Amino acid sequence: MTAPEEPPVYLRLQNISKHFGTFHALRDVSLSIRKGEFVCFLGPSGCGKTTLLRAIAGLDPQNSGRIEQDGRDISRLPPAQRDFGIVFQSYALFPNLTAAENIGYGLRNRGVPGHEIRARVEQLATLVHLYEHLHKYPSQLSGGQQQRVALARALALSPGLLLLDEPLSALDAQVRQFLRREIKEVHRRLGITTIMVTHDQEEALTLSDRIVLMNRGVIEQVGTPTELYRTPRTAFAAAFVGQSNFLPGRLRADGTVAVNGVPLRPGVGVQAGMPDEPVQICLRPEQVELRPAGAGGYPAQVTDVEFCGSFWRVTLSVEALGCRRLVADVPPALGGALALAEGAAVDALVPDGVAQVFPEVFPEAAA
Amino acid sequence: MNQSVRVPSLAPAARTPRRLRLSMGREDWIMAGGILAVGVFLIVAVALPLLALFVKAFENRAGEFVGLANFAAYFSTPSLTQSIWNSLFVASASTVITVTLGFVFAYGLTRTCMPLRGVLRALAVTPILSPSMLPAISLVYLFGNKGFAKGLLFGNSIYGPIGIIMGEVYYTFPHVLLILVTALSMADARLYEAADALGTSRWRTFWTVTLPGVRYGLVSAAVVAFTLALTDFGVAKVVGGRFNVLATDVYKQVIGQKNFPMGAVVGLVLLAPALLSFLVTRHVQKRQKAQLSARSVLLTPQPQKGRDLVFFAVCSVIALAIATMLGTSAFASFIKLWPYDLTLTLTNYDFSLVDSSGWTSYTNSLVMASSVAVIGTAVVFGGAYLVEKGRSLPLLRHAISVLALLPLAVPGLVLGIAYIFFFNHPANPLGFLMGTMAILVINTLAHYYTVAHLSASTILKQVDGEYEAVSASLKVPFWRTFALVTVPVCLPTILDILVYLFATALTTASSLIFLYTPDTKTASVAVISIDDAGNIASAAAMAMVIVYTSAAVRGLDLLVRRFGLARFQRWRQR
Ligand SMILES: Nc1ncnc2c1ncn2[C@@H]1O[C@H](COP(=O)(O)OP(=O)(O)OP(=O)(O)O)[C@@H](O)[C@H]1O
Ligand SMILES: [Mg+2]
Repeated sequence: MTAPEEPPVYLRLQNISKHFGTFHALRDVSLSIRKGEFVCFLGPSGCGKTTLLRAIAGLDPQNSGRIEQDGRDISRLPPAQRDFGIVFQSYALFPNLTAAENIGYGLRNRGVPGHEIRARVEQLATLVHLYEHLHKYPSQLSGGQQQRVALARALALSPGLLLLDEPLSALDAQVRQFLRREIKEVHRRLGITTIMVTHDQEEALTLSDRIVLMNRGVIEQVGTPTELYRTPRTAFAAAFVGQSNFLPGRLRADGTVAVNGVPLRPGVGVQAGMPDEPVQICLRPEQVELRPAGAGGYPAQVTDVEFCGSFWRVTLSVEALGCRRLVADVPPALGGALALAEGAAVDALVPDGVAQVFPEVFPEAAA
Repeated sequence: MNQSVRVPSLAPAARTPRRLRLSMGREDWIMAGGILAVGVFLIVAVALPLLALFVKAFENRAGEFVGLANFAAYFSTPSLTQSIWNSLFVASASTVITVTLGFVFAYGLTRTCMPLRGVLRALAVTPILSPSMLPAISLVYLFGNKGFAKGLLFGNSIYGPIGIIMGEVYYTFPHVLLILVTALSMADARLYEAADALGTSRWRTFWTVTLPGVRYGLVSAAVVAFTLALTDFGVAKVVGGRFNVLATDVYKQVIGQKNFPMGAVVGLVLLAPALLSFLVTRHVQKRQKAQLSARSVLLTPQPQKGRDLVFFAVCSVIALAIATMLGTSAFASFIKLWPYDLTLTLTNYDFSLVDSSGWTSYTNSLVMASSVAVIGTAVVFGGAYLVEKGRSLPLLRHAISVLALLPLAVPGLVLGIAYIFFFNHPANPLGFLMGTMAILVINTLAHYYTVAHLSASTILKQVDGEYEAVSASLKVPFWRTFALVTVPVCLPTILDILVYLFATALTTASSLIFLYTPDTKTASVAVISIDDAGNIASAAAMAMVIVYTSAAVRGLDLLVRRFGLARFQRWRQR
């Protein structure tokens, strides 16, 4: 399954299950991660991301299933015998050691000579732009600096696998942006296979080579950010990654769907079903086209306009589609031309072949 | 992916495969070994002796099972059952008095701006330095047949309930005070602001905000005072006279009449209320935890002349009374012959004149208390660490955390006789420990295990739970991180535990009274035996030696904290 030019599989999870009492936190999770890949575990709170990460580290071993790292079965190895560096949400920095001592902690234990430790610590500090803070204690560092100490410490022994559990969640938006780039840069420079847990879709979309979208202890979909955004396989994926409008509809015999009686030609990936079967139609805000009133389309009324910098987010009420809240993203130039304002009348159009069709209810909700 | 609708299973346990177990590395073995060692210690030092006590209550003197015969005999002997009522009476009376006085004092310290709060507080906690015999000795000097203040009793004798109650009030006061100060200082200022804003009268605010806010503290304080007074041996031994209480009954049955089964029965009778109050305290503490949220605003009292002066007056009287008690023993210990010849002398401190052990009992105390402190701190902190952070042996870890709480419910006296039954049992391979210093150390450590364990696990719970995970990922064995990070981070608490164990080991007598030999006699036991022999001035002197030592240790502790610890704790400052 691996194409010849692709790097080999580095981490292979097979049928990982984990339960706490009778509660199933992970069900039969299987996944392969290639060497050097940057993978994000994305999903809502409580879906099992941390549990999966901790199973990989051996900190909270799975109840069943097999984990292979670099061709070696590590399913039963205690964490100390596995090969990974880890950064926790709390950073877990040793408060009584300086940044330098924190970073060099693992090296010192290995009996590496002092000058080599110093050289390696300085090299790592340079990598994460921490050089001038090496002598400080964690309590004297800002949150972002602490995070970078934790990152450098995790990298100190040159592990084959880097595990990051929501490393940016404790930071404010600006620092997050900055560190996100820094993590990406570190990954690019070192080429280390990296798994990062996050529930921030933007973080996952911008950082990862591939996203593992999780929900309720199972993997919902695995794919590149663009795959996940463009071709979500489930309504959950469409809802969780990016913005979506959901409209109720029914399948028709000719392959189109009817929304409030209006036929729409959906995009690829529509599953054949019984005619008249109820479905959900997902529309991304940028897939909704707006035109001047009377220019052709469904007459719509603007109920809200939000200026978002590079685009305008417009909320519409479209009677023809039976939809009182349809969100559309509009480029500023067009927005100006349409004189968008609350109460304005426009025409909304859904181009053929863009809408996605999913079974009516979230499968999870039925469970 | 399988998206089929999942039917909730009724028997997930049957379907799910058995837990996958990690192979054990060297670290895991060492950790498991440590957990096992602490578990074995608690079982041998706490659980098995109590079991032996329990069994003994159902045996006759020859060791044959006799069912409830001992209990029947006990409850049909009015002279014995009278002690139950006597004990309950003195314990209740002293509880009411101590909690009332303690509340006023704590209120003065935390909610008023009365002057000299630091001095008053320091005086009020001095009873914690002394063995419980000391207040009784002072009472004899003050109100005894030759006492200065005898007239104040209007012809009543200090020997009996009056003396016991007064002594217990002194002895339990600092414990009650500390609990109430904590409870009162946990107030949320926002509640008071709200009451103010609503124009609530001060008196009403007191009843509707203050009292409900400290109700858990009051219950805890009352329970602690009651248990301490009920199970204390020292005061009743010295001023009890012919007024029998449970604690002295145990002693009389076991040491006086060598009636071990009856001693065991009285011990169980004494254990029952202690166990009950232990359960109440646990319940209350669980409730109290949630009270102060992170958003609470701490209350800072505003000056109010009239109120502050009233509290200052009342608290000064209390503090003076406490100081007088301590001062009396201190003074008497340097006096030739109270009250006839008040010239100063050091003869009372020449213990070889009154006790065959002489000063050896003091050195024994130092050895014993240091051993308990050093070994105990290591065992308790190490044990709490393994319980909190360990990964293997979850059942045993849970058992340890339960067993560690048990000693708090067991009066020292009861643990003492339990040790006799257990270690003296002919079949016990550990019998060789009887009569050694080791048994005193083990017993004292077991007796005070709970408080030390609770402070250790409280601080360990606050330490980041991922240090062990990080250190495993860095291939650093857990013990290295324990030594390099956990211990330094917890150093102030470790020092607390060390001082606590040392000070309590120094002052305790109740269980040691059953376990010492002439070679291992401790200073606190010597106080009792010297007093028993009628040399009250020397008993006062020995009690004061203990006071000097505990005061010195507390002073040293302050110095270390201020000057020594600060150096190693630079990382705490921002
Ligand atoms: N030790 C535990 N005992 C019982 N249940 C647990 C335990 N650890 C996790 N769970 C449960 O397992 C589920 C998955 O938890 P997990 O921590 O993996 O979620 P997560 O995806 O990391 O969520 P978040 O984004 O909030 O961190 C949750 O429902 C959680 O309540
Ligand atoms: Mg998580």
